[in-house]
Parts: sequence; C-alpha cells; structure tokens
Amino acid sequence: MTDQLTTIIALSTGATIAIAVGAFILILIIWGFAVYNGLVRKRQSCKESWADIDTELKRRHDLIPNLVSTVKGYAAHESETLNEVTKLRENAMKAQDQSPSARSKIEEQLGSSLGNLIVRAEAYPDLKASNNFLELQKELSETETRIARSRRFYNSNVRSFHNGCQVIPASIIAGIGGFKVEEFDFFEVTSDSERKPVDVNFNSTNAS
Amino acid sequence: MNSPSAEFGNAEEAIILNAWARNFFSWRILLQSCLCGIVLAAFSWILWAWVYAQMNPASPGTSTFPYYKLKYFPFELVLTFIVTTPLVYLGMWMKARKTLAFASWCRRHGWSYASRLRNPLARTGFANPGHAHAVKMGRFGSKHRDFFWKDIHGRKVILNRFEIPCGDDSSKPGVRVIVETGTMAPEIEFRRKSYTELGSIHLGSIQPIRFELDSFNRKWLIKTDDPKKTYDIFDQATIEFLMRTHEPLNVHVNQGILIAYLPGKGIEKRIRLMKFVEGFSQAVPDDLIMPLSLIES
Repeated sequence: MTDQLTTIIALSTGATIAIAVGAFILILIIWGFAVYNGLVRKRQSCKESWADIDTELKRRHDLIPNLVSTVKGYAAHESETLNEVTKLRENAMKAQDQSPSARSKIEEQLGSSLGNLIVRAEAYPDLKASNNFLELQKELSETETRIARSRRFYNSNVRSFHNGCQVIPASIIAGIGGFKVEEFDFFEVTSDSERKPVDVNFNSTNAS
Repeated sequence: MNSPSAEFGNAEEAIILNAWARNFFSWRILLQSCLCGIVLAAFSWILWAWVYAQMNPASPGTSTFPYYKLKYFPFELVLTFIVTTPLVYLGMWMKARKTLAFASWCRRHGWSYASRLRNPLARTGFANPGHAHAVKMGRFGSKHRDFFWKDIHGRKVILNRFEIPCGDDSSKPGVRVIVETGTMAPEIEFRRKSYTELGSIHLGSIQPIRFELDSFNRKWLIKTDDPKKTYDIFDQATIEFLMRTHEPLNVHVNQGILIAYLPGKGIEKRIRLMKFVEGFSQAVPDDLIMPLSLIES
C-alpha cells in the first residue's frame, strides 16, 4: 500500500514537473512569436516610412528642373550655382538605391545648394516678383517641411527597430529571425547649415 | 509656426467674477421672491390660525376655521411677507449669482451662455453636429451644464462643466472644452500618464506612441491609429509645450473636433483649460491644427 502510494506520488510529482516545464516552454514560444511579430511590424514600419521619405525626395527632384529654368530666365549670371544644383540633383537621382545614410549626405548637399540658390535669387527683384518662382518656392518649402517630418518619423521607427534588435532578451529572437540593425540606417542631418532654418527676407531689395 | 503664448488676457477679472456677481439687483429674482413671500406668508398664516384654533377649541367663533381671523387686520401676514421676501431674494440671488456672473462675463467678452443646453454641438452651430456621435459625447461624462460658446473666425468653441464618472457610481466635477480644429487631424487621445497604467503599458494592452524624449514619454500617454500624422502633430514645439503643462488633462482629437477636459470646477479651471487649448493649437503646426485665440488679451 505504501509502495503504491509512493509510486503515485512519484508519478504525480513527475507529471507536475512535466506540466510546469511544458507550460514554461509554451509561454516561451508564445513570447518568441510575439517578439518576432513585433520585429516584423517594426521592419515594415521602417520600410513604409522610408517609402514616404523617398516620395518626398522624388518630389523635390521633380521641382528642381522647373526652378532652375525659372531662375535661368531671370538670372543668367548664376550659371555656376544652377550647374551645381543640376549636378547634385543628378547625383541624388543616381543614388536612389544607396543606403539612407549615404543618401542623406547627398540630399543634404542638394538641400544646401538649393537654399543657396534661393538666397541668391533674392538679388533679382524681377525673379522675386515672378509668380512662377514664388509658386515653386512655396512648393519647395512645403516639400522640405514634409521631408523633415517624414525623416523624423522614419528615424523614430529605425530607433524602435534597433532597440528591438539589441535589447536582451528580444535580441535572441532577432538573431534567430535574421533581423539586423544594419538593415536600416538613420536618415540624419549632419551639417550645421542644414540644421539652421533658411532665413529668407522677402522685403529685402539689396543684392546679397 | 507661432510660439505658445505665455500670458493670458483677462484671467484675473474672470476669477474675481466667480466670487462676486456685479449685478445684485434683478427684476426676475425680485418678482419670483415676492411671489414666494406671498405664498409663504399665506401658508404661515393658515398654519398659525389652525394651531390657534386647535389650542382654543371652546372659544366662541373659532369652530369655523379660519373665519374668526378675518375680523382682524392680518399683521402677521404682512410681517411674514416683509421678513421672508428679502430672505428669499437673497437665497435666490446666492443661487443664481454664479449664473449671473457667467452671463455677465460672457456678455462682455463676446461669449454666449446657457446654464443648460440639449444637443450642444447642433445648437451652437458646429459644422457637422453628427460628430457628436463620432466623439461619443456620453463617454465624456454626464450632467453637462454652464455652457459658454463662441464663434472664433468661423470656428465654434464650447466650454462647459460636467461630471466625470469614476467607475464606482461616483463622479467628480470637471470642465470641458470642445473646439473645431479647422483641419481633419487624425484620431488621437492623450493624457497625463498615471502610475496605474504602467503595468498595462508593459504588458502591451496599452500601446502608446513613443517619441524621442524619454521624459515626455514618461509624462504623457499618447494613443492613435495614425502614428505618422501624430508624429507630425507632436513636433518639437508641441512636445516642449506639453512638457511645460502640469495639469492632469485628457485630450481627444477626432474628425475635426478637439475635446479637452480637466478635473475640477470653477472659472479658474476653465481659464486653465482655455489656456491649454490656446497654447496647444498654437504649438501644433498650423496645417494640422489651426491656431486659436480663445480669450482676447
């Protein structure tokens, strides 16, 4: 009788341990799936937000030829600046398949050159009065705002993805699932000239 | 982008009004108190006569109540009227003084006032009163009263007090503002984070949007269906403004309407709430929520 009882207790203890281990493994699997799905969602958010930036950059590239031809009509002496903008635009369009960090440097140069062009245009009253130029300037300004907003959102998604890949214990699932920090770079502003807002004085009539 | 205004126009004046109404005399209250005085005097005279008759049943002429009293001039009736009418007037004025103060303040600052208002969005001319359903008015408490409303450059604003349900059949007073945003901002809900919500956030049942600033994430809980637009709204200026805000605010933006509410009562809370909405609308980029000046300086 005692032996039977001991056997039953031993069996039930074994079963309890097995159930506990099974439950632990099940919880671990569910957690793993949750983390994996979370990383997939973060990766997707990064891709979507990068697509937003890409759309806005393309819009900026599309505006530049019109701006260049408008400025050329009034300010032929600015050929050097216009050539620089055109060249940088070509470089930016060629770099569309490059990483965000590489593109950010090229786009930054383009943005800086565009800012320079706008400032130089201040010296030409006829150009400043041109409706076409004003319209383009407004569109360009709106596009820059949208790029800045998209960049901020993209960087936040990248930061969230990087945290998901690097924080323990989620990093284990990231390693198993093939999620790498290198998949997405930050799209950053590095130069001081780009960080500073462009100060455009519409009332000024003196050439700078 | 405009910077949020730090100063607030006539706040002090409005607060003083809360304590004391300027117009003590009111024909309406006088008429009502006179009527009340007459009724009270009549009742007290009848009661007095009845008690007198009960105390002196054997007295001649007292068996047919209350005709015996008609033989004399009813001094007690006049006395009761003289005493009760001013007291009733004072009581009614005390009760109505807040309403009078609000109405007076509204008259002088271009607001309209009603102590009660059914279907406020439709009555005050909101562009689409159907939004009332969208923003689930019932969800924002009960016993809505003391409505102020105004049209500011074609945008409607309603300010009122109400009762915020606390879950266990109890409620606490609150003040609420409803503003037309002038744009179709995404659906956003944000409020000061409470310690009771930290567990839900860590377990994932509440999934707030996180921003660059950790101290901001610790202070405010922001939920939305459109993270991209929400990021645009909560730019650096908005985050800085909200970091300077220490009120336990709840804000909902939905279908062109912004609803903000704050626990507490009194004009001070209304002022704080208006100050918040004004500052918030000025901090947010203009294309997402148009700036608004709620109280003229």
